[in-house]
Amino acid sequence: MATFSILVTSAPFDTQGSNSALKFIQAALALGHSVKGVFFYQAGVNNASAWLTPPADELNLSVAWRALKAQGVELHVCSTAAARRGLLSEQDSQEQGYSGHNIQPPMTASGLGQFMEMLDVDRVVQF
Amino acid sequence: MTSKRIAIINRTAPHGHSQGQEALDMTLVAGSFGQDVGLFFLDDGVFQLLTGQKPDAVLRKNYSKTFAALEFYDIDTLVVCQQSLQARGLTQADLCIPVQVLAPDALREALASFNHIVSF
Amino acid sequence: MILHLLRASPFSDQSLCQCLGRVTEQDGIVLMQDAVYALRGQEQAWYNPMTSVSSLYALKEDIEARGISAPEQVHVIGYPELVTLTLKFDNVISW
Repeated sequence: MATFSILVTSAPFDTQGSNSALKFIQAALALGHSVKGVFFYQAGVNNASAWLTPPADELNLSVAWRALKAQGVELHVCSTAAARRGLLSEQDSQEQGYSGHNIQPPMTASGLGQFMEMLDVDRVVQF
Repeated sequence: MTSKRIAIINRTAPHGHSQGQEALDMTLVAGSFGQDVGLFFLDDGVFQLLTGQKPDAVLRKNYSKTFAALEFYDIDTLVVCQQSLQARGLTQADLCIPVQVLAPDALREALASFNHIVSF
Repeated sequence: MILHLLRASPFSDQSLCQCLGRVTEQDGIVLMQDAVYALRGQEQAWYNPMTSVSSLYALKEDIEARGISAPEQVHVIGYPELVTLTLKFDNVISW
């Protein structure tokens, strides 16, 4: 069985990229492959917001990503790219003197170095 | 660090979109982690390397100055698509750093040698 | 052998043409997301170069979602086949 890492660089809702990534990961897991993790970068960091609140009849990506984490898929977001777009972890939020933080588990605020660690797989697929 | 080689492709022009800046961020981190990394410039991505950019005028960061630092990060695979340059009336002399200019066949071959490819 | 994942409609984005200019016979192309609209490009200059790629695939879910159909020479695949394809080729580029 093979190992994958997934790079998500497309914005949730605005584009189909996150949806395609989910379908791909679900299919890979169903085939018995291992998905080491998802790394969110560029506009893809918006997937990491714990506050994604679509209307009830649309897919809630937060819920979908959480379900993947429960299946052992690590979820890392680039904290620099995220901060540029108004997404902060608890620690970064406190350092900036903000109240509240929208990067919460199951998402982990990481650096690009984390993505380098995730390259030790058979395939990286970008959505 | 893993021995997997990663190619980072620039396909987008600078300043109108953030792809180039964040591709460069990723390249620098890859270099500082000792990752074997190649940086490619295709299509509008070749505009990233133009000399004389003054993005302050449009309130964007002038990250093109950082391309000169790539050699200190041991990133020596810098490849530009010859066809993309030509199509835009550019030559190597218009670019801010020394690069390898490759024809489409050679460029594809160079890309194929990497384990992983990401594009911006 | 590179697997090229195309995501944008060639009617409004040059990715398909740029990709076709760089593929070899061993490479594969997958039309997904809005790129499946390429299957409506019979009148376009890029259509024959595209369909002459022997490993041309289109993602079933994206075709169905958009209410279009695929001609016979295109291999229509689902996500499990896409996963398997990424392993059959040496590496993957998302355009």
